[in-house]
Amino acid sequence: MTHEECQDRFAELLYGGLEPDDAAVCREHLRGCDGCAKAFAALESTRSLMDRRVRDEPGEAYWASYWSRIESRIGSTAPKSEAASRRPTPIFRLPSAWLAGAAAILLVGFGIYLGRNILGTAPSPAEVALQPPTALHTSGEDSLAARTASYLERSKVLLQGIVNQDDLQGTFGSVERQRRISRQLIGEAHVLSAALKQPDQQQVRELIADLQIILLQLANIEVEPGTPAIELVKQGVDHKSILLKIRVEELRALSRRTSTQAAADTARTHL
Amino acid sequence: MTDEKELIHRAQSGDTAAFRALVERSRLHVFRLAYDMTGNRHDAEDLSQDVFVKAYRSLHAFRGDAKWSTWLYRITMNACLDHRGAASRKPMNTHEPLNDEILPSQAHAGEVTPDRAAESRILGRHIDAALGRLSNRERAVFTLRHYHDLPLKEIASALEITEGSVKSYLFRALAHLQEDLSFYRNDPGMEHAS
Repeated sequence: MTHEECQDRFAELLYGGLEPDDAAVCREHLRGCDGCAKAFAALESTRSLMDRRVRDEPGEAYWASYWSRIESRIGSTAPKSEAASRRPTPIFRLPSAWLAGAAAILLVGFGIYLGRNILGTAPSPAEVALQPPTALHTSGEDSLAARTASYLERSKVLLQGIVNQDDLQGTFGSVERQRRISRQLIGEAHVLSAALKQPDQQQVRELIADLQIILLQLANIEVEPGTPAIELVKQGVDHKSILLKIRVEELRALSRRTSTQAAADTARTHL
Repeated sequence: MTDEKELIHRAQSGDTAAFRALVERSRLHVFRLAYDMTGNRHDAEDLSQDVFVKAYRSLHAFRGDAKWSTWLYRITMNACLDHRGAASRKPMNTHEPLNDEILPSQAHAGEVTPDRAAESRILGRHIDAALGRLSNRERAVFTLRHYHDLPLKEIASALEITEGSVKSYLFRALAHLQEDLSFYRNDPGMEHAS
C-alpha cells in the first residue's frame, strides 16, 4: 500500500468504515511508516478534540411546551392520509368491465393533460431566471406590475442560486451563465426604474436600485465561484437583505392584487 | 422497529397522538443536528420545530424506503441549509477575541489561569467556529458521522449523495478541522500535519 492509498483511507479507518481486510492492510502500513503514522495520530487527536465540544441545550421548560407549539402550527393542516390516497383502489377492484375501462380512459386523459399542461412546461430555476420580461397584453399599471413581479422573481431565483451555491457545485450552473443573466436583468432594471414613478412605488424602486448594485458586482466577476469575489456578492445579498425585501415586495403585490380582486368581486355583486 | 412503523402508519392516517409520540422520540436528535449545523441554540430550537411541521405535512411521502430517522435527518439538513442560505452566511470569526473570554493563546502561555469551565467554553466556541468554516456538505457529513454516529451509507442516503462523496467530504472536513484547531492539539503528529 502506498502512502497516498493509506492516507485516502484515514477517515474511514478513523470512523470504522473500512472492511476488516482493508483496515488490516492500512494498519500494517502505519506500523512501518512513521510519516503516515504521525499524520494519522494527528487526525485521531483532532477527532478526540471534537468530542470535547458541549452543546448548549434547552432545559425542561422548553421541552415541556414543545409539542403544544408544534401542535398549534400543524393544527390547521392535516397530513394527506394513507386512507385518502388508497381511496381509488376499490373502484379498480369492481368487476364491472365498463367501469374499469372508463377509469383507464380517464387515467390516460389525465396523463396526457398532465404531460402537456404541467410536466412539459415546468421551467427549471435557470429557465425561470432567463425568462424574458412578462409581456402581457394588458396595458398600463397591470403590465408594469406584472413586469416588476417577473423581474423580482427572476432576480430572486438567480440570487438564491448563488447564495445556496456550495463547494463549487452550485445547482444553478456556471458563473458565466449567472453573469449573462445578471447583465440581462441590469438592462431591464433601467427600463423598469424609469417606469416606476408613482410615490407608492418608491420602495420597489429602491429595491431595484439595490439589486442593480448586486447584479453589477455579479456581472463583472472574473473568477471562479467560491472565491472572495463571489463571497462578496453573497455578503452584499445578506447585508442589504435583498431576498427578504423581495419577499416583502411580493407580499405587498399579492396584497394589492387581493384588494383589487375583492373590489372587483364587490362591484360584481352589486351589479 | 415494529412499534415505530405502527406509529408512522397511524400518524399517516391522521392520528396526531401517534405523531406526537414520534416527535417525542426524535426531538432531541433533531434539535442536536440542527444545533450542530447552525452552531446556535435559538436557531436550532426554531428549526427543530420547523422540521416536525414539515415532516407532518409530508408524512404521506414517507414510504419506509429509508429509516424514519434518516428521513428526519434529511428534512433537518434541508431546513438547516435553507436557513444557512437565507440567513447570514458570515462564518464565526475565531480570529477576533471572544468578548470577555480568554484567548486560548493566553491560556496556553500561562498569562492567566482560567478555570476548567471557562476553558471548556472557549474550546467549544472555537470548535463551533471551526465547524462554521466548513462547507455545508463537509459540515453535514462530519456532523452526521461524528456526533450522530450515522453509518456512511445512511449519510449518503440522508444527503442524497454517493458513498464515495461522503468519504471524500469526511476526510476534507477532518483535514480542515485539524488545521483550524491545531493550536489545541498536543500530539506527535502536529509538526507533521502543519
